[in-house]
Amino acid sequence: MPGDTTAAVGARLHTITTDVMGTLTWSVPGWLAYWGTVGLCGFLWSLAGLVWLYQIYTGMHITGLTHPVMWGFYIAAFVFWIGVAHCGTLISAILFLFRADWRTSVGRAAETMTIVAVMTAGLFPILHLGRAWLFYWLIPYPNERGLWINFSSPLIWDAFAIGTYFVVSVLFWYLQLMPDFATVRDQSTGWQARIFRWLALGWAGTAGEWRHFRTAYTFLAGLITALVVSVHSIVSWDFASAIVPGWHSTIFAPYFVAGAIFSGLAMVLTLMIPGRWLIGITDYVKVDHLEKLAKLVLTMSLIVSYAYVSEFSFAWYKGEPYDRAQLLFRVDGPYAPLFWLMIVCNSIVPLFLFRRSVRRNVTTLFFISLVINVGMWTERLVIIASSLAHEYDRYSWGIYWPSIFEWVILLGSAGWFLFWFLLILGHIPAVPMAETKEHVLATGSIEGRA
Amino acid sequence: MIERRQFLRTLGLAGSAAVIDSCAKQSTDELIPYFVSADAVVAGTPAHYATTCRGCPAGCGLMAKTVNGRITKAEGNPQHPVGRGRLCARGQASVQTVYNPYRFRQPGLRDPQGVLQPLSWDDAGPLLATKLRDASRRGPNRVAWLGRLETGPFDELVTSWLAVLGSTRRLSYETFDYHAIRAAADLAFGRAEIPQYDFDCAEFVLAFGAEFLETWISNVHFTEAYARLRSRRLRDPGGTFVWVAPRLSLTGLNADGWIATPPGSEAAVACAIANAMIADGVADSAALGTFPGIRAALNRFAPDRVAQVTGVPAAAIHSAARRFARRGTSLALGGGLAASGDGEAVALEVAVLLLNALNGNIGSTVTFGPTHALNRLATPQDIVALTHAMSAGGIDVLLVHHANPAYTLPPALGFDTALSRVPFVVDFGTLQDETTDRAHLVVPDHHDLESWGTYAPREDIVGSIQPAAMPLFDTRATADVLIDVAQQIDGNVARAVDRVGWRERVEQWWGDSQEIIRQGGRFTGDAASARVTLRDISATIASIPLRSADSTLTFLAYPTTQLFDGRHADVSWLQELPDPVNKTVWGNCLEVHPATAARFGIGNDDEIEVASPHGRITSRARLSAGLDPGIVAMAIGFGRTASMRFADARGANAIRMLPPPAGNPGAVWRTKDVSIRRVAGGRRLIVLQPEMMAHADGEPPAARVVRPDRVDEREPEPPKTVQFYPPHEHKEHRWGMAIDLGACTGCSACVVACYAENNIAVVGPALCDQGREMSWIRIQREVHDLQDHDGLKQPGNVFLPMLCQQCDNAPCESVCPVYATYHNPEGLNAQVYVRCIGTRFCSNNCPYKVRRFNWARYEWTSPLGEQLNPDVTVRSVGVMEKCTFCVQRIQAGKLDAKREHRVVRDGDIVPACAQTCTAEAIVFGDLHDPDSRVSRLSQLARGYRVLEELNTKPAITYLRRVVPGAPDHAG
Repeated sequence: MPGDTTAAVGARLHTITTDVMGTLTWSVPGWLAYWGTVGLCGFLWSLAGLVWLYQIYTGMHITGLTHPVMWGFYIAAFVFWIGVAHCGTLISAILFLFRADWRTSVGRAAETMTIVAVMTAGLFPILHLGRAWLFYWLIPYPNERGLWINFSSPLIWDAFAIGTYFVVSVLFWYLQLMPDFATVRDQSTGWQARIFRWLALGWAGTAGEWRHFRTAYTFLAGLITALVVSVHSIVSWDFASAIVPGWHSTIFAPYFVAGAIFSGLAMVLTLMIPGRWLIGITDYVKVDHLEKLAKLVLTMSLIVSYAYVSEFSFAWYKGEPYDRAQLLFRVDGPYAPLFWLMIVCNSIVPLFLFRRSVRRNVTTLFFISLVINVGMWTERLVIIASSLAHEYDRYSWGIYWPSIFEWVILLGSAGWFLFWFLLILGHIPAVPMAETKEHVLATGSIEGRA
Repeated sequence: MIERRQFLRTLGLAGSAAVIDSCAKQSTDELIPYFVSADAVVAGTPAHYATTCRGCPAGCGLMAKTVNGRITKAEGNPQHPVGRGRLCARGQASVQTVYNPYRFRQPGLRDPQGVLQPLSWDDAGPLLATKLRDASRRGPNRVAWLGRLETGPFDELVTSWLAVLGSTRRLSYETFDYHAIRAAADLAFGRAEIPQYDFDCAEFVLAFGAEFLETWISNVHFTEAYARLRSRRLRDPGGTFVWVAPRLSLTGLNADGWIATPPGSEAAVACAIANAMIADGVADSAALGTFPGIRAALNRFAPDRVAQVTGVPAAAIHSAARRFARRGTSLALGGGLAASGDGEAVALEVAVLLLNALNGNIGSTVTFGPTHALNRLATPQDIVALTHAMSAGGIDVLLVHHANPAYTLPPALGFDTALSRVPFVVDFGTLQDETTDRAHLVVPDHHDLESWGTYAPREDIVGSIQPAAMPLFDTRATADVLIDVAQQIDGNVARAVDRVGWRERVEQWWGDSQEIIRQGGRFTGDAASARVTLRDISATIASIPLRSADSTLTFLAYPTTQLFDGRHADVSWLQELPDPVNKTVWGNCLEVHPATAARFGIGNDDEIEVASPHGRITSRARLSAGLDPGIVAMAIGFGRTASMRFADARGANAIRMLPPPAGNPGAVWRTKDVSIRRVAGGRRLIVLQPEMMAHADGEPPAARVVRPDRVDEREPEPPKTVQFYPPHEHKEHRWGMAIDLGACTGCSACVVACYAENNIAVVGPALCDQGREMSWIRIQREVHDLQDHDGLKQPGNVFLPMLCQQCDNAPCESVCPVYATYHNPEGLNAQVYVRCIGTRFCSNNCPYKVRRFNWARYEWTSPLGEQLNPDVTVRSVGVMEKCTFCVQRIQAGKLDAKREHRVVRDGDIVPACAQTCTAEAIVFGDLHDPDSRVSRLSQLARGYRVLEELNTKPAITYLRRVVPGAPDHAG
C-alpha cells in the first residue's frame, strides 16, 4: 500500500483479522438465526435419514421409481449436487490461475460449498441402491469373495472420479486454510487455541513455508481444474454410454460440465447473499463480487442454452426414429411442463442479467439464482426421467412421478448440505485472511487486481 | 375303513410298495412321504407322477414334479393324448392351489352364529351319517348330490351310494355345458352328443363363437392341433381361420378374418354362408340329399338380404363361404358363449352342422363317437328342478362336491334362497367359496394332486389320478368319507356299499394298475366313430330369425383362459396373469366399443353401472374396438363375495346380470335390454398394457407380420457395424430360442409356468398398479391397423412373448459395476443374485425392458413356500432378476448327458415356457448345432430379431406372423 504508514497498514490488516475472527467467537449479529438455521437443517436431514432407514427396511417401492424409470429423484439429486460442487473449484482454482483476485472473498465459501456438495452428492448413489448396505462392493479391494469390479461400467468410473475429486478438493481447501488456522491459533486462547494448533499443523509463516505453499497451491489448482472437466464428463457418461434415446449423445460431456458450473455459480449466489449477512462478512463479500458472479452466471447460461439447441438438433437430424420420438415426448409429453420450466429458468430468466441494475440488486439476484437452481434441478430430472420413460418398445413406456418419501429425502439432502455448510463455515475463517491481506498489501483494496 | 395313511403307504409310482410304519399320528413334516424302496427316493432329486388335471372338464394329462415330497411344478404328460405334455395357464397353476394358505385344514361345522368351527373327523362322520339316515327315512330323493363331472369308479360309487339312500337326485354340474350342441346334433343326425372335432384333418376353421383356444371343451387339445394346422397351411392366401362372433376373444384375435356379428345374428350369417355355398355350386349337394326343404329354407338367407338386415357385409359372407368350401377338409365350430342363449343357440349349432354337412365334413373333421364325458352333464331343467325341490323343502341334505353353484348360477334363478331352505348342506370342497360359505358341514376332500381316482374326458381316454404328495392337511378322500358314512348308517346301506377302501377300488377298477398308473391312464383310441346321415332340419332353419340388430345393448359374460368359471379365482398366479385380451390384472372390466362409449358419454376407466332385467352391477369401463357396438362384455369369475384371500372382492360378478336358465337348452351367457350409465366411485383398473396399437412414427413394430406370398422373402438386414470388442466365444453351446408369432395364441401358459419354475413373486394389486409386477416373460399384444382383406375385417393382432433376449452384445452387461450380470460361456446373460447391489442401470440400458427389480420384500404365506423350486434362488429385496432360459434346467440337462457319457441332444433341455407352449411356438436349443430345431427355425426367411438395429445381437429369433391382409412391406 504505497503511501500508507506501516502503522496504518498494520491496523488495516488487524481489522481483517478481528473481523474474520469475529465470525468465530459467536458475537455475530445473526447468532440466533445461525443456530436456528443449522438446527432446522439438522432436523430435515434426520427426518430424511429415518425415511432412508424405512426404505432400506421395506424396499424401494416407497419411491415413485418403477419400470421402466429406474432412476429418478435420487440420481437427479446426485447430478445436481455434483454440479453444485463444480463452482467452488471454478472460483478457487480456475480464477486463481487466471489471476482474478476478486475471487478471494467468496473463495472460502465456494470451496466449502464444493466439499459439502460432494459429501451430499456422494450419498445419493448409495441411497438409491437396492441393497445400500453393500455399497462397498463398488470399491476394488482384495476380498474373500474373490470377485472384482467391472471397469467397463460407468458407475465404477463415477466412484473413482468422485472419490478423486473429493480428496483433491479437501486438500486444496485445507491447504489454503492452514495459514488462516495459524492466525486463529495465535489470536485465541484455551480450547480454541488447542484445536487450531492441531489444525494449523505447525504453520509458522516462514518464507520457506510460503514458497512451498505457493507451489502446492498452484499445482493443486492446475490439477483440480482438470478434474472439474473430467468429473462431470464422467458423470455425464453414466448417461451417454447407455443406449437410451435421449442419453446416448456425444454432446453430453461438455453439456454437463457447462451445466454444472452454471448451477454451481447460481448456488454460490444463493448461499452467499444471505450467508454473508448470517456469518457477518458483508464487508468482505460485497455487491461488486456478486455482480462479477452474476456475469459468469450469464455467460454459462448462454453456453447451456447453446448446448440445448445442439442436443435437440442432434436428436432431430440424427435420423433415428427413437431419438426423434424422445425429443417430441420431451417437448410435448407428460414431462413437457418440466421441460418448458427448464427452458424458462435456464435460458430466459438469466437474460435479465444483461442489465447492470439487475446484477447489482441483491434481491433480484437472489431470486434469479433460486430460479436457476430450480431450472438446473429440473434439467437433470427431465434428462433422466423423460428419457427412461420413453425408450424403444411401446409396451414398456411408462411414467415416473416422485413419491412423498423422495421429496423428504431431497429436502433432507438440502438440509444436510446447508447444515454442514453453515456449521463448517461458521467455525473456520469464512474469508481467506492471508490472501485478503496479500491483496491489501499489494493493491490497498481487499479485491486485489480486478 | 381305509385310513389315509394306509393308502399313502403304497403311494410309490414304482410300485415296489414295501409297507412299513403304522404310526397313527398324522404329521406333515416328513420330507419323503413315499414308501418306495429307500434307494429309489433321493433327497433333492425330483420324482415325477403321472396324473390327470382336474382344473376343468377337459382332463389333460398332468405330470407332477416333486422334490423332497413337495409338488413344485405341474407339466403336461407327454403320453396322454389330451394335451400331449402341454398344460394351459390354469393347469400350470394347479400346484399353487395345493399350497393355498386358505385351504380347509380340517372338517368344520357351522355354529349358530354362522362361524365355521373346527370339527374332528371322528365327529364329522357320525354327524353326517345321522343326517343322512334321518333324511333317507323321511322318504325317497331327500338327499341330493350336486357335484362336478366324474367318471369311472367314483361316479359308480356315488350313484350306488345315493341309491341306497333312496335318492336318484344326482346332478353332474359344470358351469359351461354343451347342451345346445347336443340338441342340434340330435335334430340333425339323431345323436344327442357332442361331436369330435378333428383339426388334424382340417385345413380351414370357421368358428362361430367357439372359444376353442381358451376354454371351449378341450382348449389345450384344440390349440395343439390347431397349431399344426396353421403350420401346414402357412402359405394359404386366405389364411386358416375365420371368426364369426360379436366379440374378439383370445380365440378370435388369432383369426385371419373377423365377421363381427350383431348379437343374435350368428345363425343367420351361418345360413347365409350355406346359401352362398349352394349358390356358388361348391356345396356337397349329396349331403342335402332328399331334403329340398332345407334348400328352400336357406333361400331366405341370400347373402345380400342377410347383409342388409344384419349389417354384416355381403362380401364377408361370400369370402367366408369361398374359404370354407374345401370338400371335407374344413371345420365349422359353433358354440362358446357368443352363441349361447335361449333357443337360438340350438339353431346356430344346427346351422353349423349343416355347414359341415354341406362341405362333406361329417365323417372327416366332424365325427360322432367316442363320446365325451360332457354329454353327461345335468341340464338346466335338472338344475331348475333341484332348485324348486330345495325351495319347497323337499331336500333334507344337499351334498356339494367340487362345485360352486352359489356363484356360478345366475342369482335370478333363486338358488341362493333355495339353499337357505335346505336344513343341512354338506360341502366337500377344498377351498373356501360362496357355496362352502353356506354349508353347514364342510368335509374337505384332498386336493386332486393328493388323490386317487380316474377321469375319462372321452370314453377311449381314461386318465388315472394318483397322489403326487402326501395330503398337506387333515383332509379325507370324499370316497372314503362316503364309504365310512355308509358303514355307520345301518346294515342295509353298509351291505350295499361294501367295505372296500377307495384306493383298493381304484386299483380293482384298473385291473393291472401299476403300468397304467405309471403312464397316466389307459388310452386305447380305438373307439369307432358312427356313420350318421343328415335329417330334415328345414323346420329349424326356417325358424332362424332374420332381424336387424336390437337397439338396446346386449350384455355378454365370457369365460377367460385364466379364471375359467371363477373356480381359479383364489390362485394368485392367475389373478396376476394379465388377461390376454384386455391386459387387466386383479379384476375385470366392462368392455365397451368406443362408438357405444361415445353414445353414452363414457370414457376409459369410468365407473359404469350396468343393469339388465335380471341384475345390476358396477364396473370400470375399458374401451375396446374388438366388440360389436351392440354389446358390452365382461369376464366371468370376479366379484367374489366369499372370503377368498386373493380374489378379495375385486371386479364385478358378470353372472349377476344373466337370466335364469329355465326353459333353455343350456346355460345362457348373454342378456338383452341392458342399460349402462356412468356413476361415481369404484376402484381403478389395473392394466399392464394400456396401449396395444403397433408402433407408428417409422419405428419398426416389435411384432411383425408378413403376407402369405412373401413368407420366403427376407427382410433387409440392418447394416453391419464395426465391433470395438472381440466377439464372445461360445465354445460348447450357444443357447437360443425361436418364437413363432404365427403359432403363439397368447394363451399365457408360459407366463404361469415361469412363475412356478422360477419362484417368481406375486406382488399383488397395489404393486401391479405401480408397474412392479415380476413376470420374467410377458405376452405383448400388438394390433396392426390393417385394411380389410378379401371382404373380411382383419383383427391384425399379434401376440409377442417377450423375455430376456440373451443378447450377444448385451447392453445390460457392460454397465453393471459389480459383475452381477455377465456373459456366460454358453451365451446366457447370467444374473448372480447374491452379487447384485441394485443400481438398476442394467434395466435402464435394456432396450427390451425384461429385467425385473425386487422393489419390496415379497412373502410366500405358509405353506405357499412349499411349492418353491429348490433349484432356483428366491431373490431378496433390492435385487434385479431376469430370465436365464431356465439355467437350472440347462445345468440338469448337461449333467444328465455327462452322467450318461454322451453329448446333450437337441430337445433334452426345455425351459419351462417352451415346455408348456401349447402351440409349440417357443422352441429352445443350441444355436451351435446346425441341425437343432432352433438353428433351422432361426434360418427361416420369416425370422427377425426385435430391435436388432441396436446391434444387441439377440439369441431369440422371432418368426413373423403370416397375415393374409398384411401390407406389402410390413415392418
